[in-house]
Parts: sequence; C-alpha cells; structure tokens
Amino acid sequence: MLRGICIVRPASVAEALRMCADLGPEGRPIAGGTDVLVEWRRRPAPGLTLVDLSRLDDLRGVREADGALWIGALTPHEDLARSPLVHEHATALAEACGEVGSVQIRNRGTIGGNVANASPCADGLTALVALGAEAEVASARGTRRLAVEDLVERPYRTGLAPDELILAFRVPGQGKGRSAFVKLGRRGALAIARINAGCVVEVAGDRVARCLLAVGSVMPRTQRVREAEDAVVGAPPTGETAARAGDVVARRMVEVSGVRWSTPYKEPAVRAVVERVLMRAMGRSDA
Amino acid sequence: MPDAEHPEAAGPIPIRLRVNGRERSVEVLPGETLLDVLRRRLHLTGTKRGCEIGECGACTVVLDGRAVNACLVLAVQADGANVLTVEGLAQVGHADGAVGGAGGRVGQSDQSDQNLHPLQRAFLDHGAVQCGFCTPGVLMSAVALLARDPSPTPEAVRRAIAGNLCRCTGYQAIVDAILAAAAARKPG
Repeated sequence: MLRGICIVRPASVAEALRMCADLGPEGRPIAGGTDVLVEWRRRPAPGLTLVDLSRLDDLRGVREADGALWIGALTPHEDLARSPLVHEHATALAEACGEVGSVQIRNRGTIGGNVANASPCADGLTALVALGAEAEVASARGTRRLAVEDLVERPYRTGLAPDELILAFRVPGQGKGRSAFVKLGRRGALAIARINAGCVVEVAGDRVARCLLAVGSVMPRTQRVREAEDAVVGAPPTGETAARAGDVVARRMVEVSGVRWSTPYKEPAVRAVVERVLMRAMGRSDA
Repeated sequence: MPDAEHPEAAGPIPIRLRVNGRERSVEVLPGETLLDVLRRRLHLTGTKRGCEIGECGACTVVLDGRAVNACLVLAVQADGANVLTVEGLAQVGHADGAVGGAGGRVGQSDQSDQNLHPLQRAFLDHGAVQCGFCTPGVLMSAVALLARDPSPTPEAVRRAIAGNLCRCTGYQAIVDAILAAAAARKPG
C-alpha cells in the first residue's frame, strides 16, 4: 500500500492531455511505474495526482515511418529488446533496452518513462541520444518535436512543461552504418549503469564517414561528445581510432565534471567503454 | 488529497481481474498494489512480499503473459488483466476452485503432489527449494520463460531469473530444475 496516492485514469491521449492541463504542476504521469512507485515509496508526495497512462494503447509499439522508426512512448523495454525492427535499424537501442533492470522491470518500464525520469544513468536514453532520436511531445496547447538530447536539462529534470507528455520517439535509424551500446555495471543483472555509451558508426571504404557517440553517467546529463565524434570521422576504423576517442571523452569528462573521488577509476573506465562501443559498431569482433 | 477537478482520484475504484482463471471483482484504493490485492483481499499469500522496490522478485506474478513485480504494479493499472500466481500452477487448484490457498490439505499431500505443475515437480526433484521464500517468484519467472521459449538455453534461463534473488541455493539447482522441466515437456 502506497500512502497518499490519488490517481486519474484517462482512456485516450486527448483525455490524458486535458487532465495534465487541469492538474498542471500537481499532476505526475505514471506509465510502467518502475521509477515513480519506487520513488514514491522512498518519498511519498501526497500533493500530487498520478495520471495513469497505461491504458493509452495508441502509444505502444514500433513501426517504420518515412525511413525512420516510430516508437510509442509506452513501449516496454522488453518489447524493444525483442523487436526485429529495432535490432535491424537501431541496434544500440535494442541492446540498451535488453540491459535495463530485470525481465520483470523491462516488462513494465517504458522507453518514454526512461527518458522522462531523466536519470543520468538511463540506458534507453543514452541509446536514443546516440541514434539522434527526436521526441514527439504534446500538451493540450499543441505538439512539438525536439531532439532527445535537448530534452534532459539536468539529473532527473527534463525541459518538459508540467502539462506536456512524451507521445513517441522518431529514431532515424543507423542507415548504412552500425550502432552499438555498452554498459558498465557492478554486476551482470539489475545493475544501474556506472557508465554507459552508445554510438552509430558508418564506414565508407577504409575511413569512418559518420559517427555519433553518446555517454551516460559521465557528465551531468546524457549527451553526445562532438569532439570525440570529430576525432573518429575521417580516420580508419581501427582500435587506435577508438582509443583516441576514448581519450577525448575521458578528458572532456574531467573538464565538465571536475576531478572527483571517482575520477581515478572512472577515467580509464570511460576510456575503455567508449573504445569498446566504437569497436563493436565498427564490426571489430576483437572488441 | 483529492483535488477539486478529479474528486474520484482518491476514492475506492472498482476493478476486475481474472486471477488463476477465475473472475474477481474488487474495490481498491489508488495506492494499493497488485501485491496488496492478491495477498490481502484475495488471500493468495503464495506471492511473497519482499523488498517492495522491484529488486528481489519474490512478488513475481505473470500479468497478461509477462513476468512482473506485483509490488510495482498499481492494482488499478491491472484492471481487466489476466493474472497467474503460484496458486494457479497446481492442477488441483484449478480442479476444485480452491485457489485461495486456504490450507485444509493435510493428509492429502500424495494426491496434491501428483497435480503439481511440471516446474514445481522439477524443483522438488532437483532440490531447488531451500527456505522457499523466493520459490513462488522464481516459478512464475520460469513459467513466463517457458511459455515464450519452450527450449531455453542455460543462459536464457539465467537471464530470465536474474530478477529473482535467492540467498540459499546458489541458483544452480534452480537452473537445473527449469532446464529439466523444459526437456521433459519436449515431445519425443
């Protein structure tokens, strides 16, 4: 029994948006509940009314649309981890979703919730940022699109207005390139990422033609590291190139986050995770 | 705190569940979890209350074919769903409708043993039960796995039960039992 919970249960997206508009800052969307309920148990927030999105079946599923993937915000992680479409066009996302929590958590927790919760170590979020995904965000006032990377402002805070909901993601897909995701946790299962990384790499001839690289748990928010991407593009798809990108990310981390107690372990670990994820996307089996 | 716009938000909400094949209608409070409803209202205490934050898996049930932590599902979110708990596994439970786990089976253990689910049988045969607290949850994870993947690899079994903590067995006996149950179900 969770104390002080009030809940409303919209049956359609339009009704949900109306309720969010009515409630304003006193509303709190809940999808799978794997973050919201754990947080509520730790710190009940009786002033809030939960808006239960779980009946909005229109916001569940994956399909191809205009050369990209449309992914409903309420799609559970397990569905994305198993989706042949996601494996083919957004491998990093399938891999990331397969690493979240346990089967039980992946069956409930949704990709929209993963992004909206805005944990700095969210696995799905890192993969979406690496893939250059956009979020479709709506309120009773209208709909807008923005890059997932720009959605998160700081740990556990998005730039969403209180009456806005994430409806879906548009994932451009990896095109002719390959994408990959790597996570470093304390144990194999149910571990929160200490560091995670996702990337897309496209090789043309003997050079890298395109590279997107995002890291989570490394800087205050999950973001792409353009300096590292620039170090990879135009270079040969080799271990040396990947290692150089790892150095750039580790240096960037210290510049942004400063030297902390964790820096002596995290610097080499970040370097290795970035190197590994790039090697995998380059198709180097030795990674 | 009920708000003016949505006065129904804090009150009791009627929901319908199909639990172990039986239709149940209950009124729940918004803060009640599926675990609360199963244990307190339906007296199905085979589903265990453990950490209540989705870490231990003791409360695992199968909700519309998927293994979930019943402690992290609000009862109102399960409205209309199909729920399978450990009480629904043994055929004896289905046969006489005694899914309430009300006891009264003293002296009939031979008969109820014969009606155990093949996974339950395999757990006994392989010594996969020690203190038993995690067992219902592990069984439900295994049921969901075998429904989707009748011939899992040892790795797939380990992944499927990664969200179920067991402090007694060291897991090997559990993995062996699930693999044995899967092998026994294969035709030929």
